[in-house]
Amino acid sequence: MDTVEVFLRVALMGFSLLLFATSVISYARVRHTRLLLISGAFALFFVKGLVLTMAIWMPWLDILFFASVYVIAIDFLILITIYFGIAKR
Amino acid sequence: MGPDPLELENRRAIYQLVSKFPGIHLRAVQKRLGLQMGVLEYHLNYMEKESILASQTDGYRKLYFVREAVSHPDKASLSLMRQEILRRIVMLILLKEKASFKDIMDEFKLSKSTISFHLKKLTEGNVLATEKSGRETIYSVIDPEKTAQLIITYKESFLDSVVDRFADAWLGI
Repeated sequence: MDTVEVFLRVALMGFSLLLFATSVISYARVRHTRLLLISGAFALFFVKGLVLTMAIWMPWLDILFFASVYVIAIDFLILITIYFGIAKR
Repeated sequence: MGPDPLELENRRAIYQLVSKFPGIHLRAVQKRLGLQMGVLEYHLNYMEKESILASQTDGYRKLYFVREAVSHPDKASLSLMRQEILRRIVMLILLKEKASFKDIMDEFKLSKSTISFHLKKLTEGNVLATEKSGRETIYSVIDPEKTAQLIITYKESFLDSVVDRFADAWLGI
């Protein structure tokens, strides 16, 4: 795994964690369901980033997770959550 | 008559400057904020009278400080005033003294449901009172003096501004 890939995996996890934390704090203050759904989407992004980062040291995770239906399911869930987050009045 | 929000904005700016530079003198405040001297003195006198600021002289200049013992607002009101959109709604109602749902809708380019959501929070938080006038709901500030003081003395943190922008971005869709 080259340096750029390692950087991108860690950056994805770090940035998704930052957005997840911001969305949770926003929800805690504003209490709007839309923000709760968006928090869920960023939480899923964070899970994906976490697995990507862990796979730097545990390469078998790449095979187990990213060559499976799980990664498609997570992406689908992220999109569904964002869709309902936007559609929620 | 309730306080003018434009005055509140100026007072907030003065309060934040004096908090940042304790002991700042009149000319320095005037230079930094670019307010007319008469207007500035009027605001400073008001804030001293309301025990928001204190002053002392160093022989020839009057120096200003923030009073530590500004009345402590209840946590619920403070939490509401941390959100910019809620502060702006309250300031609009303070300006008009009373405002209908339509007045508020016309002022803010937000959806009806988002405005309702924010107004519900302000009424449930005992910041706003409602009354019916025909088919319209009229909003007014329950305690204009206390609320105005809260808006003046509130200090926006970096986190508050990030959260505001994040919530505005998603709720504005």
